[in-house]
Amino acid sequence: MRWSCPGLALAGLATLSPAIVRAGAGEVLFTDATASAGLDFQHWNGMSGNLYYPEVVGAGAALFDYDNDGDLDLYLVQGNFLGNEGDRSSATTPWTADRPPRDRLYRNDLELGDGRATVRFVDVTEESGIAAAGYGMGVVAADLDNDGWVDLYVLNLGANQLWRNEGDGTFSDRTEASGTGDPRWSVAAAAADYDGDLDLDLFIVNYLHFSLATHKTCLTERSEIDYCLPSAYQPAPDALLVNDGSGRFEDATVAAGLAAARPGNGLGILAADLDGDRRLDFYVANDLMPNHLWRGGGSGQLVEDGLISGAALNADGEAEASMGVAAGDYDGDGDLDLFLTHFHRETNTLYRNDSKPGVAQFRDRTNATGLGRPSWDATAFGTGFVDLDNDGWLDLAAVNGAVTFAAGRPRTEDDPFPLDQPNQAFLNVAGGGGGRRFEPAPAGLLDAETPFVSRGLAAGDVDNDGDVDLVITNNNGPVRLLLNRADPDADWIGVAPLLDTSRGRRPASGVTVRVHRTGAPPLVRLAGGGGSYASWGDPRVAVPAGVRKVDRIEVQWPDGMVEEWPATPPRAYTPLVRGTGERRDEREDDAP
Amino acid sequence: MTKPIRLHDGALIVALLAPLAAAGLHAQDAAAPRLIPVPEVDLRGVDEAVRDQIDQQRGLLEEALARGTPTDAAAEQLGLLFGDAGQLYLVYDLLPAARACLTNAAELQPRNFRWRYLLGSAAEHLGELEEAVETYDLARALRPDDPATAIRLGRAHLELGRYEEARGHYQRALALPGSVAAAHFGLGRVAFETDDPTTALQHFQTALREQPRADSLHYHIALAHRALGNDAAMRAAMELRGEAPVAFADPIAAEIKESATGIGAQLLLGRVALAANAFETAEERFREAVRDYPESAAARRSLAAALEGMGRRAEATMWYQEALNLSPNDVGLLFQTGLLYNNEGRYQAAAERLRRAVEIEPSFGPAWVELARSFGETGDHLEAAEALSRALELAPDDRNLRFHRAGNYRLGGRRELALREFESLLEDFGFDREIVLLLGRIEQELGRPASAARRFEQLVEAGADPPLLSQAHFELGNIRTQQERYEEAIPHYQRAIAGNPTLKEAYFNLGTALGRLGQFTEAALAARRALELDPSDSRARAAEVTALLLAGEDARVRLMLEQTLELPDQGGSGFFALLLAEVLAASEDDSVRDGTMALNLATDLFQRAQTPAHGAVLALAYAETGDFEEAVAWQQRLIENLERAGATEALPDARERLAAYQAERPVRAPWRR
Repeated sequence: MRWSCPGLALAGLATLSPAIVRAGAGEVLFTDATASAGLDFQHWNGMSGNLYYPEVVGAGAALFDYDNDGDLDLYLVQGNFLGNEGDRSSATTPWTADRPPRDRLYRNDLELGDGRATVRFVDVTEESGIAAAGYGMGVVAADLDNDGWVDLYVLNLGANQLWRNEGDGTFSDRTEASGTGDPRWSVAAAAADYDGDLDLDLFIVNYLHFSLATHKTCLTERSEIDYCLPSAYQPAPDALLVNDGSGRFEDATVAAGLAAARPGNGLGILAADLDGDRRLDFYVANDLMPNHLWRGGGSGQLVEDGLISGAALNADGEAEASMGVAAGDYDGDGDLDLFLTHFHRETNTLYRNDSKPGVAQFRDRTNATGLGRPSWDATAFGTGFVDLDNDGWLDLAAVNGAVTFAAGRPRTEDDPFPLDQPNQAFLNVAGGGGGRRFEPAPAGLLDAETPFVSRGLAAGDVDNDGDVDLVITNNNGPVRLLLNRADPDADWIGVAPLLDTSRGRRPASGVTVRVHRTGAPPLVRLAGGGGSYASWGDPRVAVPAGVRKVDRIEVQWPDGMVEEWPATPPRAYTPLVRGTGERRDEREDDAP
Repeated sequence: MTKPIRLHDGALIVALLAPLAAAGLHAQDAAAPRLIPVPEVDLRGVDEAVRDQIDQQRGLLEEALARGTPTDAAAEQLGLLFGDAGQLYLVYDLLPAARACLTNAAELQPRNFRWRYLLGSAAEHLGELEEAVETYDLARALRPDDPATAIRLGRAHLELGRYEEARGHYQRALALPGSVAAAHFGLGRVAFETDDPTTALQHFQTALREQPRADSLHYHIALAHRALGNDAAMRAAMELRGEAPVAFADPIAAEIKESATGIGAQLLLGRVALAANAFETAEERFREAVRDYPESAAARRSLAAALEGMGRRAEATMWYQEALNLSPNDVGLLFQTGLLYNNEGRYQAAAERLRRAVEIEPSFGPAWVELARSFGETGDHLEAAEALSRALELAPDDRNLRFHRAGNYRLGGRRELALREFESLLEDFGFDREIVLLLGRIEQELGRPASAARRFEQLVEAGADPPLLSQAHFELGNIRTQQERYEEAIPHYQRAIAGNPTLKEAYFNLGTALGRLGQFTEAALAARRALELDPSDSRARAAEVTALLLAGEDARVRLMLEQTLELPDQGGSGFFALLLAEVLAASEDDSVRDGTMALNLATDLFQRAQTPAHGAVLALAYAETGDFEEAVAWQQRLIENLERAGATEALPDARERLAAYQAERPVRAPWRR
């Protein structure tokens, strides 16, 4: 029996296997802790049978510490009913719960005992005051008003919402006051300091112009009615909102140069210094259009260099249906490479970073690293460079789910949403000639008994044990929490890059962390900055420290400043506050 | 074990055991094609027109599976239907079903390039690059110079990171028509991947020169410039970037694309009608397709096939030719027209098309065989044998091909080669009466009557079928006749005639043998039998009158000759007229002789042909009329000519006659000498 959305409430829990444990490659081990952690969220896409495009696009999740208690809480984005006729009860999978569909906030009440933490999530949505009842897509978790408390920016089909964290467990809707209510269809955003003024700006990725009035009926090659592809609609331009430091934003889209580029069907974004010039860049994943690489120029201007950097099109020179994006140093050469997730009959694509400072250069190394064929059949969304097996090399996770029946199975009355696909993980292994390549992890590593229509992937150390856990969101399906159990006794070092603000410390975003080790190249990690798909992950960094001695830790801040700290204590996350380390900027004029 | 084929839900085709076993395709037979099940295709929700189209194709396939007959043609037909179904599934992106159908088509028609190529394409679309490489390699073996296969192989290897292999295929494609730009593009990609941007840039630029409309190449040129540090050139190239890809000649892919449009459905409707023997409807559908799609070779080919099926060969040939004009390198069309021309006896035209077919696709076995037929029919037996050798490279164990090649060696004068080939056939396939007979004949042609006789005797001992036994006895009779062992020859001829009463040559040769033994009346009778079997056979007629003359039946001979000369278009009339003149001049029977008539006839004949025989008869006639002076003069002239020609054997008789004429004595019945 295939899982089909039975409604909502707790019924979904019954469909999940209790604590599914899957081992792979001898070292990879995840435990499905969804039920034991008390996560009962089910996404509802509100489909009415009319195949409205947004139904297949959402939704994501955010891992963030909303109560500053040192562990990661969870925000989950919800859909809603779509249609001019009928209501929630008349949907293909009717909404049967008493309360209306809304995004949910779960507090992590991590319990310590027997040397291992037990994750318990408590639904605190009601007391938080968050009433996100739009048709949700994605979410960003960042301290947007510099008060030391992480706020939430929710991306919607329709106006986005900014939920200000009041620091007392509640949130208030500051959308209007902040000027962040972009009315278009947004799926993802990056909160990052684009102008170097030490507050977080918002780069909002908009998808395309859709409304129920402009809804189109699309047909496959076999003349089957199916969900549309993005080419059926006009792309919606992205937006850059600049923070004045207090949580109020000005639209700098034109001033920053974003209007100079042809709009794309944006679905994914991350912020990082990709070209090694110590200035923050933005990489935007566009669906079936060339991806954008917005390079920071230091003058408040962003320059779109996707094409000339080789990161916009695959090796064939073709634009792919990019959905999710991840940045990580897969080959240990010290820079951040890019991984893009794509539609079926396209490969996911790995762009190796060959940049020299100030000269962005990427090269498609998908097939050379073995990532081509395994992703051919999948439609992949959420993704991340994650050290799944704690060997210090960044592996890849990609969660999958079709968007058309043509890529899935025919739709029937019993199976109205047959878009489920298995998720995938790829382990980073030594390749020929000293390089690196990826091998598919055993099938089922990231799946329940039956696959779902996966979309979001938020990676973070949910149980604070130094490895990366995964939250996978499923369209019209249950959220899943997979706890990494690779090697519970291994030593690790964790750091939390923070910025001091006038009212508290906040997690940094788009920070490059380099962990220098004796006799081995540094481990390079991106902290914050977004990525994946419609989701936001842990802004902290943890690396294994058992095999190689850690000498020092270097942090490159978004404004170009580089600081260094000695090795931090093991098995804990140590705050590294900007301005408290040893400056390592080599030359004054290096600073942007 | 029965291997059921499930074409789609609710249409389980348990087909393979019953019908295919009947068709000699039993799954347990190691030589039988191994067919695989076709995955279910769920067409719920699919547009009715598309569903109908697919259902109709499935219907044809199921019907063929159910109808299976024990002939190779059934497997051939099934292969075509699986191929058609595979193409249709491919058009509608039903890849697993397409792959299964095309796998079966390729299994049933292993020499069909199209199925292999499309199977590679299906595998490529499914992302199964290893399988695509394997399948394209098989396609390449069938058609080594196909540009699309070379490009696709290069690309698949490139995708797999096998740069050397990719480079090899692209290099090969450089020399093939229609793929030069794509080959340079591929070589550029390989060079770029292997960190050689200088070479990459050269190839990209060459590709652009070859195909200026492929403006997507500017992107790759820009990246190569970037890798070389040429910033300005990189930016300039990027400005020119467009989205037109590098194209290459890929007619099969184009045809599949065409199938997705209305013509596919239209042609299918025609084929459905054709399968139901509704020829007029099929013709009508195909004519509509021809009218609606004037650029479609497939429409013309289908119409030609329908007309051919209706026996309207001339029209069919015309439409095949029309299709060929639109698609001049279509191997299937070249073969089909070649076949038709061969059937019409237009062997030169057939050879021309078939030669083109095998130039394009050297592994197209049936085309080599048909080409051999064209050569053989025009007497070019060694060329025919060569063509059959090419066919045999593709099917080394094919007995028939070896048999026909040996036959062509024989007819082409390479008898030793033919002998060895036939002998090896006996070794490989066991005793075969027909081959033994041919071996005997070849031995005979090689001047080895003893060996030949042993072969024929072997056949006689083996108790061959009556026709072959007759042949063996006939040949033995001939050998004995050649050895002048007429008594032994006669019973062989008689047994040959007993086994095959229509064996004219046996009667004729029997007559010869009897004549040699002086049994002229029997010899005349045998010649008469031969003449009855073929009244136009002037040899038999001559043999009969000669035997009758020798038997002393001069009056009968005169009558027969006079009647013969009155027959219209009687072959050899010169001979019979001269013989009549001779009989009139020299018969021993006074009632038969007529000197004046003999002289008139002989004079008339001599004016037409001045041979020694004519001169001799003229002399006989003069002598018969009493004009011995003229007789002597003509006989002396004859002797001078014979002396000049060195015909010494004839001189004694000639001189003897001269002496008779000088003694004013006529010559009588000279044929008895």
